[in-house]
Amino acid sequence: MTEPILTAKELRKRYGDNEAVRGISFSVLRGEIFSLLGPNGAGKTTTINMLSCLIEPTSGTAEIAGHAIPGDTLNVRRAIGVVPQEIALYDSLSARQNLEFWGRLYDMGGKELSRRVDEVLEQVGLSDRGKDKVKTFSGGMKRRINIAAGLLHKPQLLFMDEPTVGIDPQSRRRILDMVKELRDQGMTVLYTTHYMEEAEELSDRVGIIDQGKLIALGTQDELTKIVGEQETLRLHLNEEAAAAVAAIDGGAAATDGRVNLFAGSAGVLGAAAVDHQIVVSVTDANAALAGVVGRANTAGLAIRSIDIERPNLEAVFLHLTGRGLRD
Amino acid sequence: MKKLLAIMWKDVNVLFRDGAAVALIIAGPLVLTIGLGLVTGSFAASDAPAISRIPVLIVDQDGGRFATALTDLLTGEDLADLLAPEMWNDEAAALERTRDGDVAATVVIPAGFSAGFLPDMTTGALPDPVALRVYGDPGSPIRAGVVRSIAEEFTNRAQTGVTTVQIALTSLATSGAASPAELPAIGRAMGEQLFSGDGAAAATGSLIDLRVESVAAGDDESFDPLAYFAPAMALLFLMYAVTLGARTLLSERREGTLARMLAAPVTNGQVLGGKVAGIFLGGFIQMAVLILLSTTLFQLNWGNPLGVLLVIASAALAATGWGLLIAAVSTNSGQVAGLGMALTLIFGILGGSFVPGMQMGSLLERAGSITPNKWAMDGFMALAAGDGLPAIIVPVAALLAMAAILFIISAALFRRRQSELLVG
Ligand SMILES: Nc1ncnc2c1ncn2[C@@H]1O[C@H](COP(=O)(O)OP(=O)(O)OP(=O)(O)O)[C@@H](O)[C@H]1O
Ligand SMILES: [Mg+2]
Repeated sequence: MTEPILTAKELRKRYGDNEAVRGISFSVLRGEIFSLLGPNGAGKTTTINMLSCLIEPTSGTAEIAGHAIPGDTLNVRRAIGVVPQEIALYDSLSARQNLEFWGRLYDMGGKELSRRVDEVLEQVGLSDRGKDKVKTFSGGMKRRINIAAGLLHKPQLLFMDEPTVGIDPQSRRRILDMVKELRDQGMTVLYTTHYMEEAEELSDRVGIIDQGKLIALGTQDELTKIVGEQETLRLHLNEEAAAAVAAIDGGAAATDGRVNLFAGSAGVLGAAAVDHQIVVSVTDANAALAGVVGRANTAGLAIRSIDIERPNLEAVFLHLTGRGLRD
Repeated sequence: MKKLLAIMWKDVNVLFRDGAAVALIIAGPLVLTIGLGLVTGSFAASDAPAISRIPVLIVDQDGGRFATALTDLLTGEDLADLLAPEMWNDEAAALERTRDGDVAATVVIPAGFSAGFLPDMTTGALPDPVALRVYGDPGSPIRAGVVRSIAEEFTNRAQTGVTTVQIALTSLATSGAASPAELPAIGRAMGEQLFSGDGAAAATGSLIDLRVESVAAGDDESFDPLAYFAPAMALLFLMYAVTLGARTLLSERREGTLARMLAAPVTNGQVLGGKVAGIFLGGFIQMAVLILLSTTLFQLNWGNPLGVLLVIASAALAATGWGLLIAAVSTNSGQVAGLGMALTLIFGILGGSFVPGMQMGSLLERAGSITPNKWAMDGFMALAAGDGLPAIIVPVAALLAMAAILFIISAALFRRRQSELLVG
């Protein structure tokens, strides 16, 4: 459990003027679920693509299961399984035909392949739909087949790139449970997401990634210690929070979502607008609540409800970047 | 090698599991062959008095627009020499007369036939098609076959002709195919004649007109149109089939399946090789199936089987080369489709697929030499005439040389774009 199966050193990827990944280093330990948590465009997929040898790093190296990147790409690919962010399946083929095809690319065949296909179909709960064409599947079912295709050859290390994006809550629940099962069966998982709750539920360790950089890394306890005993007030509004705040501040709200309305109110450390919410970091929620609500009322913000949250990864992200994690 | 084959089979599978594609590349050429062949009186040799004024009963239980169009067609001027139609109301009685051999066939237009062509106004989806029922007198299979082919062609035209070909022609017109200025114009004119009509009545009629004209121009006594059009149409649609395959070179990139293949322990060479082999095999199977089907349907004699195999294989290779070239110069699969359709039609014209012995001037005739269609036709015609393998050395060599040159050019183009091609 302490030995790393993946080590990335100073990985960089530049696209023209845009540096998508700016020197990322981390390791994934055997048997753990490691999450890369970060907002859209943070560089998660680019990092995964470099680690699965789909694109060459502009600079930097990595080692997976003892094989070097760049260099030993064929062996690296043998050791890993990849679940891409976009569903990559052949719509006109059945689920089983898809899986058999992907299995063949991993040197499988015959009875063994057929048995593994049965197993993974069972694992993703679609045994009875194997014969149906993928185009007849719902989005959530396609996502599950997309995952199944990455499991066929029992990889030592599985990359899952935002596997729950855009699906219904039940399918999502299923997938999260499955990831935990996989870990319990001994697989190592590198999981990317921009959902704080997923990272919190799944991860043994989390790397927080923003604008191509890893800005924090550790277990959840270690990360939440960064923000100290800080708590979060989450104000739910009926309208887009950034717009509402902009209206109050006379259009002066910062474009990065920072909210200055509560600055100076007792116990308030910072605040940011995310979608229909304003996320306020405070030292003590109970003590700060009255002041925050007072300011909001005076300013004319219509608050629908308020959540009080213990220290969490979102607070860490807010603390480190001054911005919220976007859904 | 195993992985290359896996990729190849996957592609063949994807192609032949696409119902619309199969309808187009298998049923399309057969129907066109029958359509082009029947009006030339090719059946007349065997069945001379019977081929005119075929007695046929029409039972219209639908009464909708497309039913009327079909009855108009069957009872109209265009087919007056061919058919002696009669409208009946009682299906059972009509069938009995057919079984007794009093008429050659009965065409039943079931209720809901017209509605089957009309998309749902809100969703645009087509309802399940309601098929025509054509009952033939077992005693006169050829005459019944003629009626059946007209009915089938009508349906086929109304369904795929309108949508697919109109779209294709639009792309031909707009894709700006980089070819001599007059070629797209010819392609359009030809296509419009062949595929004109807003869905129903015009479909078969225009086809017949075209045939009458073109055969009048290039007729000769011993000419069997079916023996000509069966390979010609197969080759026309071979070009189309390979461009369907070539399209996947780019669509797989967009869909992320290419990236997924490359994330597996396979080499770039295996992936590209598998794709190319898949395009080739798709075309080869299509040709082979068409030749087998037309052998049984039209009793054609293709000649030396080994020779036929060689011509099919080398034609499919050369066509694959063209498909690759198109994919190599396109940036997305829509472009491949547009260029592919343009090339299919242009090659069909230059290679003489539509009009046998067409006089087009020596420049255009020489231009025909860049088409797989022309060389493969030379090969097929020689074999059908009873010539042995030596007769196809030149066409086969020309096709293989064409394939080699196209493969080399495409490989060079692909190499230059490699980084961009693999992952977006
Ligand atoms: N092929 C490419 N060419 C140019 N820029 C790219 C390319 N791929 C990614 N980028 C850029 O790199 C940055 C990181 O993108 P990446 O897809 O890695 O983010 P991500 O964290 O996966 O985001 P998401 O949550 O939206 O999937 C973005 O600014 C993106 O625009
Ligand atoms: Mg991504």
